Amino acid sequence: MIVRCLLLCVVLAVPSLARAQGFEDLFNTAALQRIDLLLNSRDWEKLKANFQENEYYPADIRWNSLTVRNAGIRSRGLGSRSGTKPGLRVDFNRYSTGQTFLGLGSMVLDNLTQDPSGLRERVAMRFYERMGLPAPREAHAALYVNSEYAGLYAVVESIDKDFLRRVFGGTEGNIENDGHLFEYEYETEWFFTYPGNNLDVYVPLFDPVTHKNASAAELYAPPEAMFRAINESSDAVFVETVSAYVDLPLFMKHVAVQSFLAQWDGILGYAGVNNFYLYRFENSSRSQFIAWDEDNAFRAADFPILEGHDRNVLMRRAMSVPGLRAAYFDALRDAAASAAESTGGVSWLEQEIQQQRGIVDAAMRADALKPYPNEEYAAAADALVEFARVRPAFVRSQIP
Amino acid sequence: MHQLFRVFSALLLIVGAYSPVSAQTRIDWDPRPSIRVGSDVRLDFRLKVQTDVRRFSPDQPTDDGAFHLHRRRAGIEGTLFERVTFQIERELRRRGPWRDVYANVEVVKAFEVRAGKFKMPFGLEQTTSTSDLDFVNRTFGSEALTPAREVGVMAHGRMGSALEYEAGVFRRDGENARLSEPRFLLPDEVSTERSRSVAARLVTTPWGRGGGSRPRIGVAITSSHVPEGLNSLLGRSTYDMVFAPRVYVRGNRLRTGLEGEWNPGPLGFRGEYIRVAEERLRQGLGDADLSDYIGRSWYASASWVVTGEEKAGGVRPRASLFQGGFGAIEVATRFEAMRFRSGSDEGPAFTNPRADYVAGNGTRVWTAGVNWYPNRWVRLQGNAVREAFEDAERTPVSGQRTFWSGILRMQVVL
Repeated sequence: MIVRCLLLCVVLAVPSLARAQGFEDLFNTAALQRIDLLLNSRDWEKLKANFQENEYYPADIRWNSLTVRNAGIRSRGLGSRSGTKPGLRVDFNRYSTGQTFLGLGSMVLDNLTQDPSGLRERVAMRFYERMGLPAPREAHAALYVNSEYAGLYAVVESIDKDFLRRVFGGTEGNIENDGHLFEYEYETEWFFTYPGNNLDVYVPLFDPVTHKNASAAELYAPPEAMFRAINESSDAVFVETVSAYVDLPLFMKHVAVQSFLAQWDGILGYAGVNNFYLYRFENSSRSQFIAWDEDNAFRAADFPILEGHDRNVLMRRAMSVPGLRAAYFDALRDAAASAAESTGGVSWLEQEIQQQRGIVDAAMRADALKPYPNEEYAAAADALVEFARVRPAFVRSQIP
Repeated sequence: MHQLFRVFSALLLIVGAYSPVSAQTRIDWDPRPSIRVGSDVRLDFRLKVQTDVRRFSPDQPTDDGAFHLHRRRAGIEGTLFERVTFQIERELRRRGPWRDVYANVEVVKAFEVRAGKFKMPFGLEQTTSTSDLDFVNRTFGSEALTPAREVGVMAHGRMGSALEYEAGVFRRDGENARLSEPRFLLPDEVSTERSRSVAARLVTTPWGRGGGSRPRIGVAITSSHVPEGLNSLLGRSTYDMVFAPRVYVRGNRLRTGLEGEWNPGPLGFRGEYIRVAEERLRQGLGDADLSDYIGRSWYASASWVVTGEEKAGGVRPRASLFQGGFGAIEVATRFEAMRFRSGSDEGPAFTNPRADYVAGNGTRVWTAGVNWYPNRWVRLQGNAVREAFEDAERTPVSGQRTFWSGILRMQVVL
């Protein structure tokens, strides 16, 4: 244990020596960050005891030499909620209007409890980015609460207006980022069937992140129209009708990347759609899906590339359109090629996994609060490496 | 209601048992129903009904223009053997609550003892019955910063004609300072914190001789231990909106008050200053001690009975309506200010309940009113209230700083 802690201290010393101070430094892929939270000790115990609630607690946050005073933190997550190692949402402007940290209004500290390797989320988001799809920036961090090690976490950029600004640009020009952003809230099994014309049904499904105070009609009439078009447009006008709401080739690419990553709890999730944000562009009816929470990616190297297609209405109908079907397989081919792209005889995906594994290894092994033993961590990390080696060829072999 | 009826029945039985061997029993009706047994026993039956209608600008969800029964209280008060007085009062609702329930024993004028539930001796306006106030509502300071009723024991008395004192020990810190949450306990932790309080008031009438019209000046203090939690006092507006929310406190809560009153002839003047400092020991991030949380309020009011009746002791119309007169008319105005802040003002201010420098907020309220007393039992009050907040973002309508409201009240007191 002492050796592990010493090892962890050495690893953590590297970024602090670097004195990184910017957004890019926080999400530097080559370093393990150290983040310190300073709370009232009773608040920390209370947060853990009431981890199912979303109550905020004030905390100072320190990263390198930067300290953000009086931010708000709360427990977060769905299946990952934990009273032992809580997942945390950090709102920098909770108690002071306009306060930010490196330009971020908020961020997530993912507790990695659903991923024994601790790597899936981070590697998956890097792959989305590599494939040209918007994805939150992530970095691993050793979290200390009141100077005590609280475990290995992933720092995740929040999907919010700051993210939209980074990904889609400013409000000037033709690219607008002041549209309507929703977080999908998993309620029950839903496969993009038409929920009906009662807008109240959409309220629990789509939590507005922007324009929170807009009317129900402004917020939910477009999604209602979108799902009506997906379900009720005839085959003859399906592409034309649905394209008013979704960039279908882009959607096929998004799903293809998810399929390549064997994400079984995403848009084609095993228990219904899950883990995504929906962003409707400003002055437009067209929306884009944004990936979120990839802890359940890398399910298996031989995960079928058509898994879940029949259950999901949008995917089923899109795959019946030859052009979109071809776009899906093209995107899968691109994903396989990109993951397998070799440098020095090692594929990009394996390099990424090995690099991140090297960065987090000591911190992960020293994390006594994670809900799995170190042997399981090692096996899960090994399985990821194996995935990287096998998956591209498997996917290619499955493409008709 | 049943409980009050039981108390009433028990008192009648006691009086009935006592009366055959004592002096003659009689029932009086003026000014209220009363049973008297010689000069030894007196039982007065009290009834207080207040019904309000309110208007807000901008409109509020509660603004339905209908009359609401604000208070409906019944009670019994009396005297036994000229030395013991008592009062029992309860809201006429299914679950009460009981208001004043106490007995008072006069040993000598300079030393009386009161025990039970009654108002702690702090706050001129708070210790004045709402049926005797010049305005429909008490000031925000009186509602938020004073303790109001509590169970306890108090010694009080009059030293000559110029000095009155009250000093007592109480179970907690009053109904206005109820704890919002119990202390969060760690596993196997047992809370040993108690919130007992002490209170004292000294009132002097240094000028003039006799009568209720002499100027009165008083100072008061309360001290109590506040258990750890989100338990500070809070600021609430006319609109029932919390403009200064609770913060975490632990330690001593110290109230200090200064009050003054003068009722020369048909005029009435009142003023009060209240300051509350609450300790925040180990309530900061990293369990650091924080600066005190401070609530402060003051007000000044003036009234004039236009029809000329004496103000001191309550306005009693010389000529009641339908009895050859119109009753009494009084006009009144009041200005008040209340503010919450932290003792520290270093660095940026935050709204979080564990900040050392808490972003303060305050309100300034001006009230103008007319009171019509058709007879000694009935009063109609009309108040116009202008409320201005310090922080425009923490008001009933974010971004709007000033609000108006109007209140009409009809009151019947027996």
